[in-house]
Amino acid sequence: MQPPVWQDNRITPVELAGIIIALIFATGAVTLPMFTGLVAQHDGWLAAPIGSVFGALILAVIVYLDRRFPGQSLPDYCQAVVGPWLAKAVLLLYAMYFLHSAALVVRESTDFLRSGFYPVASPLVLGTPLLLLTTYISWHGLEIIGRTTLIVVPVQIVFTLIVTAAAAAQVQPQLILPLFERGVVPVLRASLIPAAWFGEVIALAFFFANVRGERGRTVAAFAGTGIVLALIVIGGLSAGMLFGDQVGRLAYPFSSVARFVTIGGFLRIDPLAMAVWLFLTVIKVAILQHVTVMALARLLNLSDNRPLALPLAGLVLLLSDGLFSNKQEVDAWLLAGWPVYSFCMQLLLPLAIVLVAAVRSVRGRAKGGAGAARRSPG
Amino acid sequence: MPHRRSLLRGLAIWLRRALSADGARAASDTSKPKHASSGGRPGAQPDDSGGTGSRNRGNKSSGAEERPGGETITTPLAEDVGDGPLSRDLSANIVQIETAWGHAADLVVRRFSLRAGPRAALVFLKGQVDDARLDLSVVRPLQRLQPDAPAPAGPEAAGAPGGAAGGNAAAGDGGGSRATRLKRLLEHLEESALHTIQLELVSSFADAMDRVAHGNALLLVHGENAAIAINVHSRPHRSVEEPGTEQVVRGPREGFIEDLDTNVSLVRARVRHPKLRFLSYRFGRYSQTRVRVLYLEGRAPKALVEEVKRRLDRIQIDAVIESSYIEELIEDAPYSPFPQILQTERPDVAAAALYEGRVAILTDGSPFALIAPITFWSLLQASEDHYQRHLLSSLVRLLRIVLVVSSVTLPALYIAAVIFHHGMLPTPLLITIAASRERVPLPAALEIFLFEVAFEAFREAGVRLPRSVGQTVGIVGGIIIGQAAVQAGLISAPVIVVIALTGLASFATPHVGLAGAMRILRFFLLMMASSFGLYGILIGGGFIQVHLLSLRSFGVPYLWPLSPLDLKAFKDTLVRVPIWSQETGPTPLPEAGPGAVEYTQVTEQPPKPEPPPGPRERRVPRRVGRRG
Repeated sequence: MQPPVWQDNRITPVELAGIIIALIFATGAVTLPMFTGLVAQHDGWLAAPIGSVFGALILAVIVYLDRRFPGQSLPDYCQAVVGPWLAKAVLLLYAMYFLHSAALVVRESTDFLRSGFYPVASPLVLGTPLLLLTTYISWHGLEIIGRTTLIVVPVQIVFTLIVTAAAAAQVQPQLILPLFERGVVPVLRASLIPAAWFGEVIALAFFFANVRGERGRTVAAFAGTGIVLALIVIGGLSAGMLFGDQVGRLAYPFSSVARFVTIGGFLRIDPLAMAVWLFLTVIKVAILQHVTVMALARLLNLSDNRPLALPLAGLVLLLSDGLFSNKQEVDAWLLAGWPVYSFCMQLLLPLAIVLVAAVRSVRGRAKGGAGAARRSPG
Repeated sequence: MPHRRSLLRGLAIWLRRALSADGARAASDTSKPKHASSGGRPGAQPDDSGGTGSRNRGNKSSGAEERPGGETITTPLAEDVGDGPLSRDLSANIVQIETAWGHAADLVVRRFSLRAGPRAALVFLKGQVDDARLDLSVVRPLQRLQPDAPAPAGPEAAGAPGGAAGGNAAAGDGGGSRATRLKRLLEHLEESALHTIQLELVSSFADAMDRVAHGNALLLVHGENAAIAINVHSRPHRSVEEPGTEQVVRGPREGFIEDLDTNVSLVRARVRHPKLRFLSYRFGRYSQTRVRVLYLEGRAPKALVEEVKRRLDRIQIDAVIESSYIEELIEDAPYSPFPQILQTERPDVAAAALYEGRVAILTDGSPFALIAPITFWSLLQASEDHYQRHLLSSLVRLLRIVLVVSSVTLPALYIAAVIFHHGMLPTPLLITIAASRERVPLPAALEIFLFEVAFEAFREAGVRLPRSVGQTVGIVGGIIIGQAAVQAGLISAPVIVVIALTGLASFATPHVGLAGAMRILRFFLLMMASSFGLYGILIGGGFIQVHLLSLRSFGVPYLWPLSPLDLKAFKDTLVRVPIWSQETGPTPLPEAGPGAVEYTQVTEQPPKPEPPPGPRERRVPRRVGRRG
């Protein structure tokens, strides 16, 4: 084992895998079975594997770009590929996308908190401590994000497995049978939603170069996606086997699964499930915030991107409350608008960059050259 | 005037000194004076008379003074007493000394005549010197001194190679014979006195005063512009006792005391190896406190030692009363509630830290040694962990982690469950709690907050009171936070249980510094829990976690080896594996180098606070001001 390295704002491949798990699983863990259940009923759990192909595709694009422009991140090579003005436009688009995405995640969290635990609290009040914490994390930079992730994610994985294992006593496997009861089309349609979730890995394009190890990071990226797929499938299966076709009517199916579990028939653990899940959300928002700040700082030519973190947090908070008037609107947007929007930002735009780079035959300089020196800040 | 000092500048001064062949000064702080060691180049000094003095004046603005013997003096006395050379006139010297000390009550000036002829005087501080040794090593030999034959002045005045270079520098031009006389006096004293006593020739007034202040007796002889400093220092101190904190059932019972030399020897008794190295410092403009940095060469990473040196070099302060002053000035994150430097009263802990590649800082006047760098886990370890059977130690360590976590979260969890998450508790328990809360007028959050404050009040009252009165506090506390309060309907019984458990858990924390941090954070989490319930605890815990992750002690991540993960270093962290299965004894810290830990203050963290600007008098600690 190599001696541990720290202090240079880089993360290890294992931490990268953790970040991917946090990015996808944070929102996927609790709500995803509901969306897929809504479209595909008890076949919902089949949607995730199909959706993950999309995520793998995006990862392939990111890895390709990383190989083509070694040591550089998207903000670095974007300018070389599409020129200064279009690069600014691309960065602005990404900043807005990640801002939007962060606001959506915060909104989902506050909705979740209000529906289950604090029915009378204002979403702004609930969101404030969350965003203060994410600002604190992202202010510390990528290294701390990675190390925080590596502590939280294993807890989340173990917790998920324990909850499913404990609930396994009460499952009724026949509830998810027969497979493809309504044909393949609903499942394919349902897979659009997890696809948008898996596509969150596009955030990696902004810091993939800051991960140690040429091969290690590629392997870790795909491994992380694989682990998260397994977790989602396990969660979806347990929800499906417990609730059958009713999954789509539960706002937070996995939280409902956790309600089946008590410690020694004594303590209920669903508030604990909330806590663990929320911490994953915190990490996801922190990553999105960090990436947004990176894009904005590059856009505005700032050398230090930290002063942007707190104002951005305020913006996220306001957007999270102002974009939608109730949970139904959020769900409708997540079902209809979000996949299309995400598809453009997560796959089409990077693919376009790849194409332009190929057509104009732009290449990154070899390692150790000026390109490596201009590694993305933050 | 901002006394900014840099290592480079200090080095330059030192080099200048070394090259100018100042033998008398070179002899300082070595166990045996070697006044004639440097190959003198008398011709190289055009203005030989008072040369030392003029050099000293040149140094005045630079502040830090590094003596060739190794002791770095951050605020030399020369800044205050002026640093001219000593006069040849004995009476003038004595007048100058008495004026400088303001006829201090404990300043003793004994005038007498040497049997050889000239008048002489002995100057020392009463109580700072060992009378018996002074008598044995100075007074008696002086009495035995024979009237001298005239000095063989010829060869030495000509500057024989390896001859009286030091004497030349000290005595100035044309004073060869006189310097030789003093030197012969020195040799006589050396021969006749006990050899353990350290003698040195000082020629500048400031140096002479410095030696007097540190318990040397100063022998002035009329006609000489130099003096002999005789180190017979001895200060009143208690004997080595069992330390008040960190008590053990099994293990050595020696503890550090206030005397630096005793403390150093206690450590030396456990590290009998020439690789034990020292860095010597003296801090404090008024206190002139001696500080020794101990490390084991080969075990302590070089970068770490350099970093410690760098941080200590930046210290400028008027007084160092306790090692905590040093701690506060060199720690990485001054605003963190968590201690980043360990304090210990136990020499065995300090020695173990040296073997682990850490650095121990001993301060004169303080029984607490500082150990750096540390990790969070160091604060959860007691020395006894290594003396007990390893299975028990491992179990106890795990228990301590549970206790530390619960000492922070228990009241907060209670509040969250009672106010927000009734569903978490089983119904019978909920009913019991509700029933006992029925008579209580206060809201649950206020109730637990008030009684946490009361608990802290009892703890604080108990700590400062004399032992006989302390018992009363215990009784009063037992009544107030107890059954009486419940019966009066002021507090519910579950709250008492929670507070008592919390208190117990926090008493089980092995190090005071960590317990203090936990006390602060307990109130923080209590606040978060009473406003946001479990969600608040989560966010508050997240803040603590991220803070711990970003914290470093001298560059070593605070949660290492948990994060960044280093499985090999886990053998002596959460559990203790048997000594035979640890490869090379204690786990050394990761060696610095490319791609390893950098022992530097992190850029993200605020640097050590500079001393606040303004007149220097404002920087005198209040305690000193009141005494003086």
